[in-house]
Amino acid sequence: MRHIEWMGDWLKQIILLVLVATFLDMLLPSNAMEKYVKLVMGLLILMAILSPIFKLLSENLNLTELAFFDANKAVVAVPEMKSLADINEQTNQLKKQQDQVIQQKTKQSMETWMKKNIPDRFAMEVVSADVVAQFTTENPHIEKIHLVVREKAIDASAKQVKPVQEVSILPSNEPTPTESTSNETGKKIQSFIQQTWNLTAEQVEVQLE
Amino acid sequence: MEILQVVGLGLITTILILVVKEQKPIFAFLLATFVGIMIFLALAGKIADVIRILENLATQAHVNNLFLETILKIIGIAYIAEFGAQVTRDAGQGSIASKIELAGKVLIMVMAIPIITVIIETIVSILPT
Repeated sequence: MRHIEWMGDWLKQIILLVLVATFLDMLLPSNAMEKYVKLVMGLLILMAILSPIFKLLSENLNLTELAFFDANKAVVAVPEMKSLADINEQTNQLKKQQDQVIQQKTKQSMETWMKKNIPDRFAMEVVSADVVAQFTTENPHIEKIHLVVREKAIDASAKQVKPVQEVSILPSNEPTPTESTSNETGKKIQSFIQQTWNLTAEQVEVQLE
Repeated sequence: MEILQVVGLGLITTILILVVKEQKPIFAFLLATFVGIMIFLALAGKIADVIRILENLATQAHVNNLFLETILKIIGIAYIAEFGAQVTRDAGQGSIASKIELAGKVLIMVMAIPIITVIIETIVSILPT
């Protein structure tokens, strides 16, 4: 409808100008001026006819605007792009989080593995296992393993009441045999863990209770 | 002023001029000029009416103001130049009359210059270079 209205305006302009021009021709006093007045009137009518083209040339028409022009002027919202720095920061944060998760999982699995395997092999019970590890993407490594073990408590059912034996107390300088055996077990556990994860002796600490 | 009044005034003036011309030709000329101006001014009101109607029509039809302004200026120039040329011609100065007409023509062409420039510029910009 807008276009028809606009075209009507344009036609009205031309028609009125032509009518006025003929009217003026009659009004003009003499023949001497007629030629000139007629020329100018002709130019004016020409300009009125060409006015849409003037408009088209003077307004730098934006073709994309025209193409996406909606009657309701609905503007499609474009999500704002984040800057590259923001994206990089987010990436780093995510990487850190991932590393932490990996570290935790590995620690847990190592601890459970030790708690499961050491009692099987050495007749000892793991009281607590603590793994200190650094998991960066470039260089993941275990810093230290701290292990607290104690002798396996004998099941109540398996408990056998032993007859009280004669206790002879002898003065001796030798270290008590029990101590040495527990030290030996500790060493064994230490070396076992060392072999399993390829660690040095300093990194593995076994404490007996 | 109606047509009868104009014609009556003209006839009386003509008779008066014929009478006076024998004695004092200069008064005859002055009389003729004065009556001419009187008729012209009397008709100016009517012309103003016509122009007002044209202006109304133009505003209703959303005609560009520039067009109407130019047209009215051209009418004014044509009328005034014509009137002056006739008066001088009556006084027997044909050369002055032609000069006045020349001035009128030049001024009308000056009015047309902006229109011509706009049209030529548009044509040039449309044409492929």
